[in-house]
Amino acid sequence: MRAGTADSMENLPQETLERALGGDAAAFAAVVREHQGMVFGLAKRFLRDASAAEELAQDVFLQLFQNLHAIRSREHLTFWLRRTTSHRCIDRTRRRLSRPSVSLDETPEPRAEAPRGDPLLAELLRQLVSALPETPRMVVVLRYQEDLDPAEIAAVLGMPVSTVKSHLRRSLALLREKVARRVGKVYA
Amino acid sequence: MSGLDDELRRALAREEPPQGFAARVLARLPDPPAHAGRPDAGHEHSQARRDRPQARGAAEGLPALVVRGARAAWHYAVEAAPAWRVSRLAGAPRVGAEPVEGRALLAEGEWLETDTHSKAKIEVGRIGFVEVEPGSRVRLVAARLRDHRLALARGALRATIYAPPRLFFVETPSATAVDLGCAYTLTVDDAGGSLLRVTHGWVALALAGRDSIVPAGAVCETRPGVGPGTPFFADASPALRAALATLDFGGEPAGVRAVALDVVLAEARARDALTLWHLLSRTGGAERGSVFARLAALAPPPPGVTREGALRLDARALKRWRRVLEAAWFEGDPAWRKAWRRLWRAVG
Repeated sequence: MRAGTADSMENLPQETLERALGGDAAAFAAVVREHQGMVFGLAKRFLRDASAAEELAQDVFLQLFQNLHAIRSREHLTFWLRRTTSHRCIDRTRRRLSRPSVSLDETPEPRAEAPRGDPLLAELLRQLVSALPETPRMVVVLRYQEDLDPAEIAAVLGMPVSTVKSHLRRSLALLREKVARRVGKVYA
Repeated sequence: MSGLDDELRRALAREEPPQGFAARVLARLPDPPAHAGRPDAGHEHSQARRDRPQARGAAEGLPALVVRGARAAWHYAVEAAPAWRVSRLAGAPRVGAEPVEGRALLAEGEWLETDTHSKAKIEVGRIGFVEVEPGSRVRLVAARLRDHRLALARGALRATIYAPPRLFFVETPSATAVDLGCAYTLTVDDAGGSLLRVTHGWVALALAGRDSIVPAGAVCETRPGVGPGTPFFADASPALRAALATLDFGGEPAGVRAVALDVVLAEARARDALTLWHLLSRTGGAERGSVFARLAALAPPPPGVTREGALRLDARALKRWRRVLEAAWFEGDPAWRKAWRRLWRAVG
């Protein structure tokens, strides 16, 4: 599992979670900070619109606050946030076409550790992923942002594992083809 | 693992939201859910929202029709503008990427930035104005009839508002300042902490159920993850202020806290009843009993406010006591300002 992604969810002390579940605002703030990168990241990668992603991420945490009584554990909290964010993203896109509009002002603060690799290729991949239909797009984002395996993705999205595998297979084939066509880079 | 997998992982890595995200979430939280078990949650939660002026108007004997009419007239007069006017006071402030030359408009979602040599003035719809000091970054969050809202990410602003309470808000990374009819200075540092100094009227600082009422002449600090500290008058003794910082933000062991509380109680003057009244809800057990005793000695509770009621943080009792204390907070105000404040309370 990659550093800085799914394994960072274990950083939230159980005691902090319990205080948050009891209505402690400072502890709830810690929960938000712990998971905001995951929730905002999913929304941003899916919607490709920073302000829409922030609005959606805020709504997810407000919904969490209203449903704290339903959270049973840290693992359940993470699952609940992924599932709620994923469904909200898909619902939002289906309700209305989300036009990408990223301004400099909405650019996040610089990260402590800059991602490595080719930034132009990364941007191309983000564009190509954002052009996928809603469900395969979320499958790919959950696979590569959250490092979930097909069974976990199936649980989050409430669909058969075979469907997830099918979406992944087709999406990756499409991405390979488009990258090869656009920049001449061929992946195995 | 293929190269495409690696490239996708890099391209789709998690991304942190813009600074202050958690604070913005907390500022939107409703009252705690019914299951929430916070023992001291009851008495002052979201006081800025719950302490409705309609009830005050009735309590002060104003005919309801007059109150409703005045409120309707006010709202008719100040219909919201979709964008606020900005004027340059010094240097080269910017709205987004555009320099402000003379005048400009600030629309919802746009940022106003000042460098170290720049200052700007924002007209807050038709209800007042804000001067943005050098080195600041301010966003217009909402320009609506009932919600005039800025976010101050860093720097300082001076607000002067001529409106009924609860129409103007400034969000910071560690609390939201709720205008209750006032003028004030608000500073946000790079760590997200803020410092509020009120010059006229009063302001509430709120973060998810932790509220502070800050009257003219008083100061209040806020810290990320904690929210508003306990307000104190700017002329309080340095020892009281240092001890209060330990109580609010120190995270010290119980022994150190106990000493700090002793210092606060010993240093408190009659005017510092403001601080002690807030400490009632921020202490527990024997500490709360000590705070009550000192507060009662400095400002005896009014009829109907009992020790038992205060110790169990009975909301009505604490509010009644605060009403009595407010007279001292505003004792230096001229009569016209007191009348103005009463009118705003009724109209808002």
